[in-house]
Amino acid sequence: MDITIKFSGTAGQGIQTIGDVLTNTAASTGIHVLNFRSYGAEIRARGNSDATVRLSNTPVSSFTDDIDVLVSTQRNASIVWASAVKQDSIIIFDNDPKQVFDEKDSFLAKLPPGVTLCGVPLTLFSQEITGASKGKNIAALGALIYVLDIPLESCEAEIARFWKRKGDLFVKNNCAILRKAYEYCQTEYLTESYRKKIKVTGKGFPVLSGNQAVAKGALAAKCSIYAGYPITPATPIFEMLAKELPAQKGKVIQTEDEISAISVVLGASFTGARSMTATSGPGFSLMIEQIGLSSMAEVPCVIVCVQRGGPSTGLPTKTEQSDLNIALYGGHGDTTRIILAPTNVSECYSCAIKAFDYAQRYQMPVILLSDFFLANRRETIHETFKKPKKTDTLVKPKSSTQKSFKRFKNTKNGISPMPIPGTEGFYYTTTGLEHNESGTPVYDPENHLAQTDKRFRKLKTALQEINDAEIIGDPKAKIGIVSWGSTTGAVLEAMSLAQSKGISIKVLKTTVLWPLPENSIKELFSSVEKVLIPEMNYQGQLASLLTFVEADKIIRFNVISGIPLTSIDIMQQIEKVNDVLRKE
Amino acid sequence: MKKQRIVIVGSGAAGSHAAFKIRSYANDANITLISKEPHHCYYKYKLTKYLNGSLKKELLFDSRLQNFTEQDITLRLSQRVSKIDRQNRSLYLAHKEKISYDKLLIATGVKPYVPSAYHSFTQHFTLFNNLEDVELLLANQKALKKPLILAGGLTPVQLALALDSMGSKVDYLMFKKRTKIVLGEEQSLEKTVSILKNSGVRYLEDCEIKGIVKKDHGYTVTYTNGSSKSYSIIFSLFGVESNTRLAEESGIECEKGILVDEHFRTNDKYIYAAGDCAQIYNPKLRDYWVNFGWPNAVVQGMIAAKNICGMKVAYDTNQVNVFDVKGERIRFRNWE
Repeated sequence: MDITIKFSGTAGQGIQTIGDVLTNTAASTGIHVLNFRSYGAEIRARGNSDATVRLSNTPVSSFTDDIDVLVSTQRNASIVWASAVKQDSIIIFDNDPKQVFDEKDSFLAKLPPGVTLCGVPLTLFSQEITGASKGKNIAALGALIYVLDIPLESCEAEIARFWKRKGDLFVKNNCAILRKAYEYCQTEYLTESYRKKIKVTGKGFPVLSGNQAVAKGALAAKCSIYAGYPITPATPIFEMLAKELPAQKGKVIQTEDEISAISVVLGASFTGARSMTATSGPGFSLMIEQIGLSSMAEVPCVIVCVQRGGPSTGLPTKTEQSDLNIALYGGHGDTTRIILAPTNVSECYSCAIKAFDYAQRYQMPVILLSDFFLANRRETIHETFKKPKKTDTLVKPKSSTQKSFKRFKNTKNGISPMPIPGTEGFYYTTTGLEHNESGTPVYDPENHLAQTDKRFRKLKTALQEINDAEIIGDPKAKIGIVSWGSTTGAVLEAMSLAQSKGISIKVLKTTVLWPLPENSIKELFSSVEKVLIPEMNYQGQLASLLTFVEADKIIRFNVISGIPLTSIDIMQQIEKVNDVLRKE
Repeated sequence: MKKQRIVIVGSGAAGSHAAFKIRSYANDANITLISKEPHHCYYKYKLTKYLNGSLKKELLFDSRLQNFTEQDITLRLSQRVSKIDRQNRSLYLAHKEKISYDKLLIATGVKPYVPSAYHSFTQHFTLFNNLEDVELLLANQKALKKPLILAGGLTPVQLALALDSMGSKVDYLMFKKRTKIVLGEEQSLEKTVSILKNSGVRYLEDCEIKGIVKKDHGYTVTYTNGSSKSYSIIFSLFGVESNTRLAEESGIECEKGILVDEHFRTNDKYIYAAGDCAQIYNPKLRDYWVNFGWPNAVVQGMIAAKNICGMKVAYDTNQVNVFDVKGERIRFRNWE
């Protein structure tokens, strides 16, 4: 069973909250869950709010376009979703609102024929128990868990856990509203046409968001300094680390802006501390100058960029993958960097650990590119997160090399041992100016070339050591897909859909975007006739990067709707490409 | 020019056929069909076949009445009309939505009839009135092992035979007076009883129910002749009567049904009624009569549609009604 639920209402009605409570409840009963929030950029009570939760008895990594159950707490807000519901959908709505309303304001008038209406007096139930209508979201949840056949007791337990801080009365009232709506449906909606039952196994899964997984990864990697300036959608990383980092003797610093934040990270890293900042597009733009310093001075630096709609302030609460270019090319001069892009929540954890490892080992900035969808979506985790064996990957000089020590020694693999400042006998100068092997500023062309070459040699070393690119799917497929970041989930699901329709696909999946896994990319391009590159940006930023291989094979699919790409979106493109190939 | 807004309440045979017919005459009309049932038009008289598995669910639905989107007819299922505001030509749905109309067709069909002597037992009765009732029975087939049918027409005969074919041990208590009203002729009644007696159904006569007691997994029924028996379920199928609640509460003239002239107009010139809920004026009889049954409802819906669209078509009063029960054609009459 695979069910997509859309919660729809206005900001302030607790739409996200019931999405979260359902997610936690379902996960606790062994259902696989994917939850994504969409809301206005304003803090409260303005605009519409919706949340999507996909429940399945098998793991899921993207959304579909269809809605199986629409839960409406505000009729006007739900009009926009009326056309997206399937013919066999179930609609949960308030059938006893306070005031009479006209047909033109009714989403019920716009639903396709065949949908099943499950009207519940949401406002009334809330008022009867609390005297206010605020609990109508919980009444809607009560009706929903009846429809889904999720045990009422599991949801009550989650409510008690979720609102423990708010006290017994609050929990009791919410449980009473939940039960009232549930029992109302038990009496009113008896037949199977009102049910979309999902199998409950009883063995629960943990649930995490991408942001939480990044923060957990940072904690596991023994990050000891986090410096940041709040920005949507990266702030939850800040908040979680502010709560948990002090417990492992780390520090969290809120700086006056993003330039300061990255400067703190560089300063801390210079002393050997594993340190990190997290930001989004506008903040990342401000950090570019220090990325150059990190590269030139060979100081480790971990930057998480949670992409949102841009440019400028842009669309703070919408998802995009449009910061690849700035991550790749941002800054002046020839700057080294490593770019990691996790494709799911679990990889947010592992990539955060890798970011620290790589920043220290290769002494350069590591940019972890997440995005609004990945950061905000919450999903069930099916594997145990492994703790890293090593939490210090900095290559330090051996004491025997004291006499011949040169901080920026031009080594074979480009990596020069880096002592912690103050280590006796290993004194050196570090600067953003070009320098010689000892760290002394030198501007002659031979030295500039030698040092630049050394810095870029580290990327070659890294490519051999960290490449995780893999080609998945039918080796004989004529259509290839290169995908990155959160879009990959939809691509992999689309690959299965395509297989079921007799279309063979192969997918190049990688979390390392730079240094570019050239061999794997060339292997894919040479083995297929067309390469589809779906991206949530306007320019086709990855596609442009890959034109050096075989530009005429590339088919771009660029969407900037602010909404995550779905497997159906990708499938439609696959079918188009397949049609083109058949005609040829 | 403003589009004519036509609203139809009830998606049964009369309402659905009217909607599609109106579309064929009025291309640009804004048509909305509202029904309290969650399903669009299905053959009610085939429900027994669906129950015993001899008919697939999809064949319950009339394939000609499914293209609502194509025909630009707004279908609003599971939505109950609570009242009509005739003065403002609007109606209100139970969830407080207001819908205006230029012309309204009421096709609310029938509701189950229970004799007043049995009103105190209604909490023990199961209905067999619509598709939802059947779905519930199919989900709980254990309850069908030992049914008692309280019968007052022809539908219970079909149900009894369907249950018999499913292996149920059916007791059939016929209310002859009621059945006679439906069947009209003594011959039809005899034929019906003979069919039942020749099947595995246990036909009960000359007794009335004295008491019903709910037990863990069923009921114990005590009869006036002193006997008592346990049943897993009790079906109340005494018969049906026109569903006139909405019209009555809105001040539209009703007797046994909603009173309409031979053009299906009520006493409100903007409101029409057709199908089993309508009590139609018969100029030959100079009286009103209710003309029950699926084929009649279809014809009435279509004629009402023509009148709604401005034509002046009178209803043909010579309808023939025949029920097919186990290959036997049983005539039944229209109510006067």
